[in-house]
Amino acid sequence: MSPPPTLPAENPKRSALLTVASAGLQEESVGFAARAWTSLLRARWPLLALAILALTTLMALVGPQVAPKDPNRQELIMRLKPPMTRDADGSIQFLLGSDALGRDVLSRLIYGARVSILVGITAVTMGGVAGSLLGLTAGYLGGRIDDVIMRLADIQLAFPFILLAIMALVVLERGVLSLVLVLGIGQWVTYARIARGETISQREKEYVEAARALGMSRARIMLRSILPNILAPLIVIASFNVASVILAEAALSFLGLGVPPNVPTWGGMLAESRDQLLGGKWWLAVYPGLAIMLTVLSLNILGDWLRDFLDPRLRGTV
Amino acid sequence: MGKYLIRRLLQSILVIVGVTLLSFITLHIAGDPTYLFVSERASEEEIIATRARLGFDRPIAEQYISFLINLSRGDFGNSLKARTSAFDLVMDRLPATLELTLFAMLVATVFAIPIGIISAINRGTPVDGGVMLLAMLGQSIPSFWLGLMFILFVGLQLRWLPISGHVPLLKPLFAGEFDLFLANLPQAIRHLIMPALTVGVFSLSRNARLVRSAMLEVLSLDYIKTARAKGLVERKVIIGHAFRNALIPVVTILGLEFGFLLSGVVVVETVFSWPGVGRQVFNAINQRDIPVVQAAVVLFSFMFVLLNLIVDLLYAVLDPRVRLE
Amino acid sequence: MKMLRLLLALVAILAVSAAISAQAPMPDDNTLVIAQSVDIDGWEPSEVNSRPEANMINHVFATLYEITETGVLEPNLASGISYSEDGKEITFTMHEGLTCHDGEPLTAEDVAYTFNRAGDDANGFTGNTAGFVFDSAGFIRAEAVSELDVTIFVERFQSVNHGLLSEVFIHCKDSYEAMSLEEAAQSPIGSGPYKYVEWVPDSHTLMEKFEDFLPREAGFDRLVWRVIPEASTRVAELIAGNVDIISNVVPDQADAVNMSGVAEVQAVQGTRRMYVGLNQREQYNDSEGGRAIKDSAVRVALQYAVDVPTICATLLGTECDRMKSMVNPPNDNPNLEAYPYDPVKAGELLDAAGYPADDDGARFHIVFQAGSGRYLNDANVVQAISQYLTDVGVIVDLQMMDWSSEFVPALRQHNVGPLYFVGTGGGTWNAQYDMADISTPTGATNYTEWSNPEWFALRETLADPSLTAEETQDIVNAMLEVMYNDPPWLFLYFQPDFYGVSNRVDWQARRDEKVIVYKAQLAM
Repeated sequence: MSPPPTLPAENPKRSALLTVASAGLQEESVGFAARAWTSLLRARWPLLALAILALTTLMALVGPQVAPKDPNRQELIMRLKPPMTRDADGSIQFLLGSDALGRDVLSRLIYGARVSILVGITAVTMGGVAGSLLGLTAGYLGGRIDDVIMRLADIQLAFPFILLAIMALVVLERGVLSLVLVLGIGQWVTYARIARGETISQREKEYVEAARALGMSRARIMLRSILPNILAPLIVIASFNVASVILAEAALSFLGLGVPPNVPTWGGMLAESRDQLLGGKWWLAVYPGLAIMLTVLSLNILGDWLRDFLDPRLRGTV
Repeated sequence: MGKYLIRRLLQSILVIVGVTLLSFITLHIAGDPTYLFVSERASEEEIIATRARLGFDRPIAEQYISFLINLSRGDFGNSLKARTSAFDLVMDRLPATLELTLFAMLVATVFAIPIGIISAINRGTPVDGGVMLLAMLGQSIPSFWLGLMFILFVGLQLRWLPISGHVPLLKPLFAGEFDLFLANLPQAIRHLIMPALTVGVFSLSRNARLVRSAMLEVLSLDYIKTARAKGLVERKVIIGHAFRNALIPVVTILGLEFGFLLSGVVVVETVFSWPGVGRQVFNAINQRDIPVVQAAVVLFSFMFVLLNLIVDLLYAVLDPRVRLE
Repeated sequence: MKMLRLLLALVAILAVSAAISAQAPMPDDNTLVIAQSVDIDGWEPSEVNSRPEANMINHVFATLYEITETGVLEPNLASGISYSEDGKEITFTMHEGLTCHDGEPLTAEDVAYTFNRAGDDANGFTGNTAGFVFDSAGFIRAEAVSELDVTIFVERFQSVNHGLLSEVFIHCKDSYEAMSLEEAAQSPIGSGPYKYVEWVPDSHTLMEKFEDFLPREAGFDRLVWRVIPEASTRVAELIAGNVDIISNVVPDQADAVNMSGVAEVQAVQGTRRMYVGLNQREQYNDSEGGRAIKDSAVRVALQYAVDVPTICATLLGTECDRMKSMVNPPNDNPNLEAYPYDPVKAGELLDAAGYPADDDGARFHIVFQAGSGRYLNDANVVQAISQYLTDVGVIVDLQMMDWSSEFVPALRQHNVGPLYFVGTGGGTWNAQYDMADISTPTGATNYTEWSNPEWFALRETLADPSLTAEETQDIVNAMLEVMYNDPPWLFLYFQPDFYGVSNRVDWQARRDEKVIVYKAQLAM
């Protein structure tokens, strides 16, 4: 692809071109928030989902202030106490019960929100940003670079994700960072493929041509002109992906590859509870299970709404 | 067409080589695997001898190149643990995993379509609401958890289905032993139901929602309205026009679905004691039995690539607008 | 075209390799079903790497002597044993009329072949026989001296050699000479009470009673060994009556089994010695904690900080005696008292050793490394220990590692710690078997590289065949006292083992982690 021709500054066509070049952006910014809000109010369920997510996020943020106990403080003789257990003077000691090491389930649930949400959001952000940029580059530049990026994507797709995750987690030091890294790597291909396809469809549009004619650099065209116009499907995918990352974290915990056991996560708590199932200690499974289900459910409902609102074309594909 | 095929095949080989490189590097980053192949109280000399026997004393690049040369002859080498052909070991397990994956795929597509259609027809009613809520739930339960619940309630409490284990189905079929295949069939299916549902429930839920969306879209289109206006019976409208369109999203993701379901089997094979490749490769990764890992990874990616190639070719055949280039 | 070849190979192998494998048989009057969590890697009798493998191999291949559950060595394939004067030549006399499962007579020549094949470097065996027994016993070679007498040559006399050599699984010569290593790993021809019939990897193994096995009478006609990795699934199958014996029951699930009315849990005090290693290597001097545990007084103080009985009662689901030395009772030093739980005393001793608590109650920081998924409830046990140590001011940084791929390689190189959690297999039949862990200051299993000169000086004096049993025990007691006062380990407990046993079966679990079921019968 030859470099775009540069035009002198006083070119009379310039202002016209500028208008065209920014047309893609303008549509997005006018009354966006207002329209979103009306749509949310009308749909009701997404509003509830949003409220649940807001509550979870709040819990994650202010966790240390509201948690009744240190989530890692053990009291072996107080292990496996049911919810509403009171101590000698009648005050409630374990509102949601205690686990196999006598730790407070409520406190671990609150701290667990931090890690689970953090892992979900950072992994998706990481994979989403990397994948979108790679897809954008591949789609806009085409040629050799496109080939390389898409072959890499093919390799990753052909490699069952769980095997890659197991291998990487066996190799890396156990911890939240490794988990985020692995789950993030698992995400990028989806974004890259969508971003590439969308970019190709935008590449020859008038406003891009105009930006090129104005002599904008390639990076600027990609990031400032094209990206805002292909963002909608990527955001929709991301909202669904946070949910699947939370589930993947639970699966890895089951296989013993999650975060270390002294770091509370919902998936880890659920995985630990399986030894207590036959013993009837339901609270160990029900609370983290509900937390995961409500969060994932909310993310899916919100994702549905985002899809219909931002990009109805996606209906029937995600 | 011929040119296209050759290019796709070349790309596929590139992808598979890339996959082997990726797993090779990952498995070697962790350092010397020799210690996993000597006994608890091994002496230093023994460790050195074992390292040499396993070939881990050679430079990594050299190890990889000799692996590739052998691979080009179809030789994956012997399992470091079992000492027999790694490829044979994995092939021996493949039928069990295929049974699970294919059955899950069946569940995820065959059930999804009527569920989605019923939901779409009854849009806005409690039926629709209930079905969609279940579908949402199906997408938010970790699979190991669902599997254990099946075992405890359906298997242990109700005693409706066997708790764990596997009865071979594909293996006798491939061996041409149809009598055995037929004899095994009823038990095999009983053993398959819980694990396959566990693997497939996420996809089932997602597909049901996709079908519903696609149906709603189609039902609101002009030609359906025209058909109705022309006085066609409702059932015919749905079966004749809408149904075919509702299939499209499900067919589109079939190829990717297979890879996704394969990912799910590792957990489910462990929960249900299913003797498949998923568990085998999980153990092999932990034991650094590199030839077995490579054989499994290559086979998985090979199947994935092949399936997607077939899906693409089918598209070209079915839809003349798609050009192969 | 590689694709095409791969595809062809795929079809060809699917067609050929499809051995006729039915499902795992269910329990009946003649069939006993056992479920373990992992499968065997292969059937090579000289390459056994884990306890579950040994349990299965042990029924197909017999040994010269057998260690009973009470720690007594009983004749098995061999009928007697004798030593040369210097104790370096051990001669076993075989029973008459023994055969292998293919009908080949089993004589002294076959035993010699078994030993020499296992020790042959060209075979590259690394399992229990070549990797542990032969090294520990100082095995040189074996020779058939007559039809029924076979002599094993070893480097030095040790009282444990008899028991060690009884861990070697015997097979016949002609059948194994005719097989390649690959074939041997797939189709074992055994010498034990049960005959190998079918192995479906990660699913089940089927064995049938070998009627011509002379030394012992076996109970059930058929044994089925199922592989069920998930603990809850194993328990569910036991309660549903599809399995008779399961190993590794999670303590918290014991009640569910006992209340089912179908099966009971047997808890036995195992012989595996669980401890926290206090690594003495120079490399840890860089860290505060590593320096601190160089001091014998600190190592003694830490013994008082951990409430072992409570850990047992809560996390291991049973009462257990705290370990007072590295030797299993009854062979240990009877004069030693297990360290009691006394956090106040631990604090005082740490004060005295020069590690006072600061304003936050912290004395020093130390790294504690552990694998997970290997020992009974290990992830929870190490978290509990960390809490106890932190409570007396030893601030623990607990690092969980993957057991097989991270922890074990580091352990083998003595690079774990300064604190690490490990359990080492032991026996009830000889104190020196248990003490073999610490053979030299840098020995393979002396992971802490503890180098107390008194211990090693006393150990030298044991290699004398003229010692009486009492004299030997006196030296052992003296050594254990040295260790007690200068501990390289934070002594914890002998790991209890939990088995689930169906009420229809009469079977007694053993303390040494061996699952031996040929004596099992239908309950009356």
